Amino acid sequence: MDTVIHIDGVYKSFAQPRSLSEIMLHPFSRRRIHVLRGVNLRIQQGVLLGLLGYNGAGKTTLLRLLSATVSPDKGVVKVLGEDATKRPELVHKNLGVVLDDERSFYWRLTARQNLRFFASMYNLTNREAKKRIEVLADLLDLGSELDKSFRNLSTGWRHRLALARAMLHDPKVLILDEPTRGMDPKAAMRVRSLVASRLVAEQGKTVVMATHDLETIEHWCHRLALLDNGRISIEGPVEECIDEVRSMFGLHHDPLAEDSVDGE
Amino acid sequence: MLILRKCWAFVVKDFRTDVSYRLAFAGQILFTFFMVASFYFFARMIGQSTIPSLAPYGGEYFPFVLVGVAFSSYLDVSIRSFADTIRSAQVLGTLEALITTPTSPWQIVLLSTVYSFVSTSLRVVLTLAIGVFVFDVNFTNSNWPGALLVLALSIVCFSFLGIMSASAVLAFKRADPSGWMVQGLSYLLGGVYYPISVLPGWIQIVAQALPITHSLEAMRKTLLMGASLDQVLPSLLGLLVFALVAGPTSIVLFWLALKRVRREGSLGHF
Repeated sequence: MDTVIHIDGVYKSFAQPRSLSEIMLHPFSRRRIHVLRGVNLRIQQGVLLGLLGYNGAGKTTLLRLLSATVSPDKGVVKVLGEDATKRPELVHKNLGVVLDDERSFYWRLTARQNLRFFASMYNLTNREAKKRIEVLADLLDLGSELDKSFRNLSTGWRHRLALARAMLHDPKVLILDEPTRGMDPKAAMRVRSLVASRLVAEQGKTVVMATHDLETIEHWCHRLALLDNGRISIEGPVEECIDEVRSMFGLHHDPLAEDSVDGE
Repeated sequence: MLILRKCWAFVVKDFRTDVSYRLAFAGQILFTFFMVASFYFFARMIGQSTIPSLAPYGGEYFPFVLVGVAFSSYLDVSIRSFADTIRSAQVLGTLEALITTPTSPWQIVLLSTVYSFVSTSLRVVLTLAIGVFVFDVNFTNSNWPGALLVLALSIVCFSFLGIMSASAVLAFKRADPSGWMVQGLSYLLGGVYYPISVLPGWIQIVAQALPITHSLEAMRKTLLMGASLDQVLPSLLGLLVFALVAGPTSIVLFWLALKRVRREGSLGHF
């Protein structure tokens, strides 16, 4: 299988906001938070990778690096052979992104009008857009909500719409940051099943999904990667790594337990 | 074709958003009428006598200020719309969603202002039409092709200022003070409400550095006096020189701002 995502020696830090007194006393020095400290990761085509980590571990930063909205301090991020820092537009042709911001639509437009607009940004013709929106509405069960104003949609529906937008151009790679957050259990199950069975298993897409839900990873993902202290501390097939992850989180697998286990 | 389709998508999206605020939409039309009427009565207060400093533009105050107010709105929309587009996309969260599409950031910024320019053009037409049909301003001797050329060159110059302002908003998030300063200086020194010949000599030299000074000078002469392009050549050259300096500067500033937000990871911040 081809390697679709290359992350080599990636470091990323962010400058800390300063108080007025700090600016006065040390005008030229800025404290930085080191979020990623030498991340290396390879993801093959047709793999659903679950990205785990405590809050603030750097999951969202890593996803933003992959989606070329953040550039690394050091190291290389490549998606389908294209450097995400140097050629972001080429990366975006084959990449669908659902980040954690549910606001990212035009609130005065309907869901359908929003999708039509973003379809144009993804270079789809009107005819292609219309057809694709119908397909996605069917896949994500969006039909009843498509003609409602975005501002009237609940959080769960907004997340579904974000997923539909990310899939408008039928990308080869999907980056999903907690895609089922805010959805009811039935909708969440439908989305997970869609991603794992249809997009990955049938269509061979590559998906990186950040989540806190170990059960989701155990049931749906092929591989997992655990971000800890800015580095990937565990990476491999889910069945080989899940027990190690549980013990790291201080959790023990109870085969009788039915509730999902939250790593928080 | 692709760029036109994207342009149309932005125009349709912004039009739908605009008309969804029906009261504000209707209010803009009423406001235009009230503004033109206010200047008409102000001109009546000044009187019908010819004002010497307005002699190069026909001598009457109302047509002079009507053209000034109508076309200075292109400066307003240029400076505001680029920065406002970035700012509202930051606040709505759509900036990051747009940047993750294959459409380049340049196209996003430029296309997202098209509707503002279209609606401003309609407002300018409405302003001039109110002047003609309600208050009897005469544009029968105007050099319309010349005026359109001046307008096109002015929009290019103003847009470069707008891109600089948008770069500041992209990088520093809050409203850009340099944009407000350019806008304020343009109204003070650019001859929107009065000819720059009434300003002290050294300030008139400063005013020459502003694109609106050249834009309004050429616009008034072509519209009110029917001047040919030869007669407004100094103003056209002034705009051209400004465009040659401001164009590359605005491109570099926008590129630096984009690099900064990608480095800081602040594309979605506001």
